[in-house]
Amino acid sequence: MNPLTRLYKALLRMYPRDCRAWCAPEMLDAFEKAAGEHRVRGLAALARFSLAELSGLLVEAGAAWISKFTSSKYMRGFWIPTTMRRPGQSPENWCPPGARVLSDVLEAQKRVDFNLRQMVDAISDRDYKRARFYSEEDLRARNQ
Amino acid sequence: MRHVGEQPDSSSRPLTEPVLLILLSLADKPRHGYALMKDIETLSAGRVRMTTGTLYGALRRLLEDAWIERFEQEDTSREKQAYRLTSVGRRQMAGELDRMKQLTRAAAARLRAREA
Repeated sequence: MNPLTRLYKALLRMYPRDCRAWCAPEMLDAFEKAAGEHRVRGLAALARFSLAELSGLLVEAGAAWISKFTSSKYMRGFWIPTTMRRPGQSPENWCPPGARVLSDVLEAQKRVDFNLRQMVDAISDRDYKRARFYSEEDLRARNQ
Repeated sequence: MRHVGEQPDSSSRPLTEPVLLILLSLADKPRHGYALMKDIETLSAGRVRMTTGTLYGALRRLLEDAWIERFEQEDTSREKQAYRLTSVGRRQMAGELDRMKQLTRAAAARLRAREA
């Protein structure tokens, strides 16, 4: 890994952990590909690209933190499990606001969401024992 | 600036350029992050080059609003998680394009009237 990629990877740690869990690997992958393209265009192009990327990262990391503490929808994109929806069905259509859903279904969904959150947090912390525990809890909740 | 439309909610506000470009890029087929960056550059004839931070910030907001959704493409690695438009996103894009068409028509009419 070259120094620029290492710096980018380090700066990704400024994002909130839950946000980082889904976007960091993809962002790093896209960055490496784009950096490779600019590298062949010359040092000046690479310098401009690096400056734009690193400053963009700072701004968006800040925006992600603001969103985390101010937006009630922050978690929606991350946590609604696609496996519980029909293929191609959006989260909004799957459970539209104000829809009448049986309370036990909602309770089960809350349990599943909670287990998923814990599982991803545990994976982010590299605590695989805890991740396995919540994975089993998740299976149990889905089978109920 | 206050926008008055049929829908008084936030979804009736004009879209920002990055958001519109992302929606347009996803209109024909699902794409992953890097493919989106490349396609947006092509769509805007090289005028817009989104940084990864801007792109993923916009993707996060679109996911929050359920205008796009994320799914795993078969036979690919984790880095190839792709994004596709939802029906809500497609509606928003169509609404924005209608708004832009109407604005373009009005602008053209004004310019013609001035020239005449």
